[in-house]
Amino acid sequence: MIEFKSVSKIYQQGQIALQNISFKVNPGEFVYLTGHSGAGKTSLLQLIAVIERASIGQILFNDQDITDISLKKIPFLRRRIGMIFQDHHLMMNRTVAENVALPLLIRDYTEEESMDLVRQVLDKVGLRHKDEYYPYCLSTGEQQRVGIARAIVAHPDVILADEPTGNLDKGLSLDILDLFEMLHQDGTTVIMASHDIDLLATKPHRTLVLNRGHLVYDGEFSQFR
Amino acid sequence: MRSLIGFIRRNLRDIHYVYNTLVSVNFTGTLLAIAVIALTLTIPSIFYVFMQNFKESTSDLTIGRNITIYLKNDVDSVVAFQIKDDLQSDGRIKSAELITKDDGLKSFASSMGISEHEVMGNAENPLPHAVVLIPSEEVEASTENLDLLVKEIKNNKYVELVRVDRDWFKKINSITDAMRYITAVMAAILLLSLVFTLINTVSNRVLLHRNEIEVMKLVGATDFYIIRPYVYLGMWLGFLGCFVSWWLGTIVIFSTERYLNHVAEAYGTHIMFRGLNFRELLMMFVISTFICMLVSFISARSSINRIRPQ
Repeated sequence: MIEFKSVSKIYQQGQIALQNISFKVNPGEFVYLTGHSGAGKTSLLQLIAVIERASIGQILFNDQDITDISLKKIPFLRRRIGMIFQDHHLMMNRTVAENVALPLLIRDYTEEESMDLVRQVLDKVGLRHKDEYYPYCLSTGEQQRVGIARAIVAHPDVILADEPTGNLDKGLSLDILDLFEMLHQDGTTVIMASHDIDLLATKPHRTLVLNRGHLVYDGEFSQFR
Repeated sequence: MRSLIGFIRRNLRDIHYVYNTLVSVNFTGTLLAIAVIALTLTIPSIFYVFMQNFKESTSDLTIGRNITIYLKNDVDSVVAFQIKDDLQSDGRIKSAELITKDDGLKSFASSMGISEHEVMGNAENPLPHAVVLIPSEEVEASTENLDLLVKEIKNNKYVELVRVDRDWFKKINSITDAMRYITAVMAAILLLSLVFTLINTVSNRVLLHRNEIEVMKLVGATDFYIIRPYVYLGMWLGFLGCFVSWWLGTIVIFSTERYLNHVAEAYGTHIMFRGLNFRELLMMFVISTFICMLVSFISARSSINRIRPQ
């Protein structure tokens, strides 16, 4: 599914974000990515989504080398990835339903087809009744659910979640984690970055631990603790 | 068929999106952009209309295209009258008038404000007999026919020199050429201002929707998908700008008609003003819409390319 082969990321200012990272994520796996702030979690996810490019090494996505993927192909790669962010990245001038429908509309789904799928996915995240609301009318937890709904609506191959519970309290964080667990049960590959070890401990999975750009642990969560 | 319906739906959705997000959020800015485009188009179009009307009006002045025939000095007045009569009977000639050498001298002395005797003293009148012709309208309308007539007259053994009074037409042509040049230069300068205005408008809209564009890129929207609404925005700005310009131009042209006709009357003519015809109007709409779409596309593309999702 996703494979990093000796990947390093050095920013233009000379700052080393990732150094000699190698790992492989298999289809249907749920993988945690953890480490302190600045450990390189976001950089690693950005490399998968080609928001940033690797300086050294090779990244494979479904056996396709995406290290030097052309600019024209990037949108089509990103359609196979559902991205979830700490700050949601929602469009405040569009309703919940319109936000969630966006990945479908860019794939040329008709309005009716999109709305059917949107309703299904909003049901899943428990926001069906708020489909006509604007995001600014929702709580932070609800906004995050909209972000998740948008990420999963087009059935991506993999979900990349970057600190999705960063702004949420414990209860809401657990709800979100349950949602990811449910997606995982449905067979979706999930890579979730979080520095909240206690939260991850509630539903242990394979864990990659980063420290100052180095991959210092790759194994079961229980053994890491 | 299904893809065609999909295409139409998608475009209608884009147009709806353009209104909701690109026009209504900055309505004043949109109106200003339309105003700039309208003014940019109005000025050269007014010049163009004036030039066309001027050209058409001055074509009536070909009636004043005289041919002056200077006979040889040794031709006496009997022969001169005979030549005048022969020319008069030619169907290609509307009228012929003989100016004898005495008439010529009188006219010359009169223009100098002195007597004929003061001009010549006791010397013999050196002026030749001259015949002034006004060709028929068919001959006037065709340079070829006019040249043929002049050539035939020149072949007459009594004719010394034939002069066609083209100075007036040269002046008109040079005025028309100058107007055409000024119109072209002005259109080019104003086109540049239109391009800069549009670049600014579209870039501002792109910046205003920066977050939205970032999200679109993150969920896999192609650049073409993101650019499309901005191209529609350009299309609408171009179309509406042209529409306003058309009305503005029509008002300006017909409100100045009276004053320009005062000038025209001084030259013995009357200008029947007409605005742009259907073909010219269509051209204006097509060019304006196309240029605005093209500039919007280029501007949006370059602005959107610079936006990188975080």
